[in-house]
Order: sequence, then structure tokens, then C-alpha cells
Amino acid sequence: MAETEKEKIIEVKNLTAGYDGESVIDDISFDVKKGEVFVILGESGCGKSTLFKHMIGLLKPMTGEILYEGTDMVKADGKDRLELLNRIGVMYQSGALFGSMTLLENMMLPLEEFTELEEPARKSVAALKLMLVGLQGFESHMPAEISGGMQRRAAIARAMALDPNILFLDEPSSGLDPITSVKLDKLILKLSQALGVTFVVVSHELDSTYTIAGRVIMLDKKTKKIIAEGTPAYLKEHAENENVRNFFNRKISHDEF
Amino acid sequence: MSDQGPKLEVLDKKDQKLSLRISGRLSAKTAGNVWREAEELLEKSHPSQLLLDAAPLEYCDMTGVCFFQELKNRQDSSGGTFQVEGLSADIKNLFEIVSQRHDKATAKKEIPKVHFIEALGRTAEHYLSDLYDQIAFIGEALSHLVKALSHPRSIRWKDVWVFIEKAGVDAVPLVSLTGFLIGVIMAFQSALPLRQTGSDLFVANVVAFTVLRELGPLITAIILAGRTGSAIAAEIGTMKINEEIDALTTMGFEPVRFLVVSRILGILFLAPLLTIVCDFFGMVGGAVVFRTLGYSLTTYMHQIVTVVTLRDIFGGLLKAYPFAIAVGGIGCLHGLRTKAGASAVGESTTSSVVTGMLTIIILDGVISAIYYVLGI
Repeated sequence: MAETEKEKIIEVKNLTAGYDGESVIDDISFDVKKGEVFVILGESGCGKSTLFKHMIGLLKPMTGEILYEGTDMVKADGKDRLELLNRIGVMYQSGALFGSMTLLENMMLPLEEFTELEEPARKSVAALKLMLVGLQGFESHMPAEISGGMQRRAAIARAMALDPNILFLDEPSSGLDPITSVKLDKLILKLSQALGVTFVVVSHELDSTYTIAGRVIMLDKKTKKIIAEGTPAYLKEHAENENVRNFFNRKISHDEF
Repeated sequence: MSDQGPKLEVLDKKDQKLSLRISGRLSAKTAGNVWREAEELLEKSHPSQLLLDAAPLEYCDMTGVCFFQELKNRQDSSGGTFQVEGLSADIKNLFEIVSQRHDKATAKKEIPKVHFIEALGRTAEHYLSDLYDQIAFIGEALSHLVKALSHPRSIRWKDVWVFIEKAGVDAVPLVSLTGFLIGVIMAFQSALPLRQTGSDLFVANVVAFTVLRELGPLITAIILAGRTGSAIAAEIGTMKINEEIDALTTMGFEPVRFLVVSRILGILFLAPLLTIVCDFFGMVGGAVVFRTLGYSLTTYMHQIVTVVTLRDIFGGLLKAYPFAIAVGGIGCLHGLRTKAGASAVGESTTSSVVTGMLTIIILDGVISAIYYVLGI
């Protein structure tokens, strides 16, 4: 298959994760290929966010490995871990922009800490990236003064501040109107094509998944495993598991309500 | 990853034409040096034509594109031209998008300037509306308080008791320790001058008067402002930024009645009690020092009972009420006025403590003047 020829950028191997000794995810393995838009799907409470937090190194798994081009995120510490973290950018669900700083300052914080650019250069890099997500003219606004969709875009811009090869987005379009959400999807596709950035997106929005996803995995609440893997269009029609087909066709089985 | 920094070479420099070549890996982490070099070169030579050969670049990211855009901007503003060659199709595409957007953005940019007098007016307006808000809030809170007291069933007594436990019972150790130390300090400070005139017996009178009439209520109120007023402001402020206050409003509660009345009632109840605790431990502190001066406890008690009247004790306790209303009201007001963002909660907490303490001191001055006139 052509897929295997592409280079793997993230490999998750036999990951079991959970809280207080109780697992939410049980022994799952998958990998993300370079340059693709990879979507993690599933109903609420299936462990999407838990998996997400493990992949970006916020939580330590119970067992298993998370490899970034061969380096284990779990075992890395000190300088190695910092280098790994600088290669990924994360957009949190709520934006998590620093409320006491303007958008431009939010952008400039990582540039100041991790690059050798001088102040004016940092400013123009930060301003240009804000412009790329369509926020020109809002550089000196505080996060609280702009709309939810704009906060989301600013958060993506901040995640891209250090030009990471992998961008993690946690439910980027939840709570946005359809138009803003479509614009955001287009932005993701454009960035992925133009920059070759790998995207890992946690989502439960079907429309947006159809638009952006190259490949999806779907997690299951009951078995705590991956119950489907493939392109969204394929899964909608041909998935073996009924739950997966139901998810993609917005149906529920008879005994559920 | 071992990012090797990019290199910038001057290929050709003729008349007004400058040709550069860039090679290596151009990324956010490594762009610093070439950026600086290129700027220096442009500063020195001001070429009318700048040519950049980017074909040998192994890698280029968004920051690289920003770098090209920066060079283009510099050339544009000095009337020169800029051309970059040998970019990969993707990067070229990205550079075009960036430049188009940039041109559009700069075309409609206009920086509004604020005149000095306008700024002055705005500031004055801000402070006046602040004052207006405070007065309106005091009125609103008091009217709700009176309404609630005339319908005691409408008060959420459970909230009141929980608040009294948190703000009152838990504050007892701090208030007693502070009261004790104030008593000790007052006694020592007055003992020296009084001993010079041989009248160190009156140390007891000094301690009793100052603690009961003045320091007991004042110190208690300041502790309440720092401990309870700030907690109220932080709690209500956090509720405000979590939209909990909005939720209360849409559920049909009046936030002022729901949140403010129980807290002010609670603080009104516990402020005099804490003042009594502070008074008592102040006297104990005075007694300890009095003993070290060589007098007996009976003498101490006798001195106090003969000079201190009930008027002094109740005059002091009475002060606790206005102080309590000030602390509780200001805490609630600053909490409710919290703007958006995490730092806003910090700001309201700070301003509640600052305004609270200032108000307490001012009130104390006013009350002292009234007491003097009335002869209390």
C-alpha cells in the first residue's frame, strides 16, 4: 500500500492510559504519517482528550510508548523533552490564550524564549502569522475582546509560532458557527498543503472531519480500543462495526437513547 | 534535531544592485543570524534592486517566508525592488499569499490618535462613573439587605452559616494572635514614658483604652478586609468570568440579593464577635507585660474596671458594624465588576483590599470625630 511508504512521524505503541489506576484507553497502537491530517474521533467520554493529553506529553501513560520519529515522549526529559515540545504546537479547546497579554504578545512569548530573532523581527513574524489566520488589525487586542472564532484562530497562530512540524488541535471547530467552522477547516487544509505540517485533530464534528481528514481512528468507550481506522468516506460505507457506521450516519442503535 | 543555521552570501554588488544567496535550513529557531545580517546589509547599501537566490535552501518554514516578506517590505519602503528565486512551489505559493494579504492589510491601516485632552476627559469620566457605581451599589445592596431582613425566610441561611464559619471561626486564631501582640506592644511602648514619671500603673489604662476604643475594632476590620474581603472579591470575580453570574441572572435570581445579602449579613454578625476576641486577647497581652512590670493581676483588673466604662466597650464594638458593611460591600462590588480574563480576578482582589482598608481608615476618622463631638 502507498500509505506505508510514507514516513511515520508519530508512533503510539501499546498505550494504556487512564486516571487513578482505572484505564480509559486499553492497549492501543497506531501511527501518524508525515504531512497528513489525522483525526481522532469518538463519542463523548471515549478517551479522545485523554489520548490527546498523552500524545502532547501532559500526562504519563500507565504503559506504552509514544514515539516522535523514534524519540520516546514518555521517557524524554530535560533538553530532549524541550526539543520535542518545540517541534509540536498545541491548540487547546478553549484557546488558552494568556488573558493578560495582547494577541501579539501571546505570539511573541515563545519566539522570545526559543529563537534568536531580535525584537522587530519577532514582531513582524508574529504579526505575519496572525495575518495568515486572518487576524490583521487585531494585534493589540486582548483575547477577551475578540470573538470565539477569532480566539480559536489566534490560538492556532500561537501554536504555529515556532513553526512546528506537528500541530495538535483539540476540537477546533466545536462551538463555532458553520461558516466560521468551514473557514477554519479551509485554513487547516491550506496550512497542511502549503507547509507540509502534520495535523492531529481531536473532533466529533462529522462535517469538518469529512473535509479535512486524510485518515481517522475511532475510539470506543466500552472496549476502550480503536474500533475503526481509515478514510472517513470508507468508514461511512464499509465499516464492519455497526457503531462506527451509526456514528458516521448519525444513527443510534435501537436499545440506546 | 540538529538544525544547522542558514548562511547568507553576497554574490554580486554592483551599482545599486545587490545579489544574495541563502543556503542551509531556514527555520524559526535558526533565522536569527541571517535576519540580522540581511538587515545590516540593507542598511549599509540601500540597493535599488535586491536579488535573493533561495535555490540552495534545504528547508524553509513560515518564519522563512516572514523573512522574505520583511526584505520585501524594506525594499518597498525605500523605493527598491525585491526578487526571490528558486523557491519550491509550496513556499512560493505561501509567500504570494502572505504578500497579498500584507498589501491588503497595510492599505487600510490607520492608527487612531488620542488627544491629550480627550485622554484626560476619558480618565475623569472613568473615575466619576466608578464613584457613581459604588454609590449606586451601596444603595442597591442596602435596599436588598433591608428587604431581606424584613422577610427573614427569603434569606439563604445555610449560605450565611457557611460563610460565618469560613470567614469567622477560621479567622479566630489570627485575630487572637494579632490582638495579643497589639496588647503586648502597646503596654511596652507606654511603659517607658510612664515609668519616667513614676506612673507605670497607668499602663493598664492605656492598653484598655486604646485596645477597646480604637485598635480592637480597627485591627479586626483590617484583618477582615485582607482575609475575607479579598476572598469574597476573588470568589465572585471567578464566578463572573465563568458566566455563573449570568447564569444566576437568567435563572431569575438577582445576583446582588443572592450573593451579596448572605455575605454582608454574615460579616455583620461576625465582625463584632471577632472584635470582642481581639479586645480580650489585647487585654491579656497587656496583662502579661503588666506582670513583668511587677504588679499583680488584681491591680490590673482594678485599674481597668475603675476607668473603663461600658460606653468605651460598646463605642468600640459599634464601630465594627460600619467597618463590616464596608469590607463586605467593597468585596462584593469589586467581585461583581470583574472584567474578563484570569488577571482580572487578581485586579479585583487587589482593589477590594486597597479600597477596603482605605475606606476603613476614613470611616474610623469620621466616627472618631462624631464620638468626640458627642462626648462618647
